[in-house]
Amino acid sequence: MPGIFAPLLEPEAFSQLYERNNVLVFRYIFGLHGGPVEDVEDLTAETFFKAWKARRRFSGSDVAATGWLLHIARNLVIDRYRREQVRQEQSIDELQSDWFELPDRAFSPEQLVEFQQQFNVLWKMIRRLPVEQKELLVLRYILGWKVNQIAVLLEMPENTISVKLRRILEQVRDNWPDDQE
Amino acid sequence: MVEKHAPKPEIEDIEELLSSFRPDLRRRFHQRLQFAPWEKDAVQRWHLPTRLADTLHSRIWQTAAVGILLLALVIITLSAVPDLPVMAQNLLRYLRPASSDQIAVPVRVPYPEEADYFGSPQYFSLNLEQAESKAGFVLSKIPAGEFDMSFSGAHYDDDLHRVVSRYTDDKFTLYYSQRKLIDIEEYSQIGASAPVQIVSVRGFDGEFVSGGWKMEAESELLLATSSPGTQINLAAYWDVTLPQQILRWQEGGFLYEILTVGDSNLKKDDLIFLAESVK
Repeated sequence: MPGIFAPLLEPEAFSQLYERNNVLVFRYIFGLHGGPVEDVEDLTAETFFKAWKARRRFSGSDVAATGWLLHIARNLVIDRYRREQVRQEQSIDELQSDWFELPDRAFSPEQLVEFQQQFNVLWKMIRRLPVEQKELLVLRYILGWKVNQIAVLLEMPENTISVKLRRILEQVRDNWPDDQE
Repeated sequence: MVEKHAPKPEIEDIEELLSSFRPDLRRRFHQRLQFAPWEKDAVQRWHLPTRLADTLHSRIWQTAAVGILLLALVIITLSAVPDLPVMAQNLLRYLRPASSDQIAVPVRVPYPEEADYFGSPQYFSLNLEQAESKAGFVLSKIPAGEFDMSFSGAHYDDDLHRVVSRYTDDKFTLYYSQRKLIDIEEYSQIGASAPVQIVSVRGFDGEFVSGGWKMEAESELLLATSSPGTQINLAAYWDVTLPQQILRWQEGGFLYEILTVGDSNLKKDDLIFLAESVK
């Protein structure tokens, strides 16, 4: 049944939701899906089209609307996984330098190369993680959400989120491939 | 195979690597979404309807582009037009002549994954009871069986509070729509020279027109050969010989429309007879 109060009914309201969330949804999908960027953009667009069609069934706050969008996006990514198992093992994009906001410290050219190579390895490792684990990393680090925000979205205790994140990071570190592999 | 020279990081390094990843949407994406149905500016820029924008996003449209565009151009133009002149009792001019018999339609060639819309089997997926339930108002029924037409599905459009029922024959399709009049008006753009006839329907003034927009051959080719996401301009002209007829009237807080597309034996009087027989 449609919500009694459907705050996204009007195009203006939905347009504002889109403006507030398009980059966030894009990054979320990028982290979950892994790329290439064309696929990520397609999924991002599809997320908003699906939300537009379903807007009458949504009622809630701005925060809830963001969670609703991420839920739609997550389902789309999972559907895409199922259809494209083979492609998941293919190489990802050439990472573009303008996709990164580097930390506020000086990088030598060598350090920059190392940074990028580390990221490449990390990205491939993340792609192989279960969606639930990827989602936690994406929310916490790529979207920069606080643990309490994630806890609300995923309806989990904050402590559980923190513990899970720590374990995932340890797992990634421990499984990091040797240089000569 | 992994990259060489990627030393094992500490947890803090992994956090830093991930936190640095801030990809942004490319211009191409924004261009693609600027005509999304929630972007009102896009509708105004196009002088075309939200519903048409949806239509143009359709995967089906990509394959049956010509027919659906022509249909959409004629029947579904949506705009807030509170200043539509009242022509006579209960009659608004829902058929609005364009400034000429030519029209340019800027469109973005749709992507396959984009909305499944007008013309797709899914669009007319409801039976009349389901459509009535969704609409929340009592549907009037058209006696299409008297002309050997078969009901082939209905669609409820909640933007417009409208139910469109489709009836088919071997040669043509009839669309019967019932729309609850709300605060947004709908009109169809027709060619400047299109002869609109004012007719009497159920004691009310109605409008009748025959003909339709036909896409120029060059535009058909352009559409068929353009890549998804490309912005193109389609040219169409008003063709009075196109086998298409529209009858519209307003009654009891509803706007009704009968549209026939294809080689129909139905004439204007037959459409009026159908309208008079609506129950």
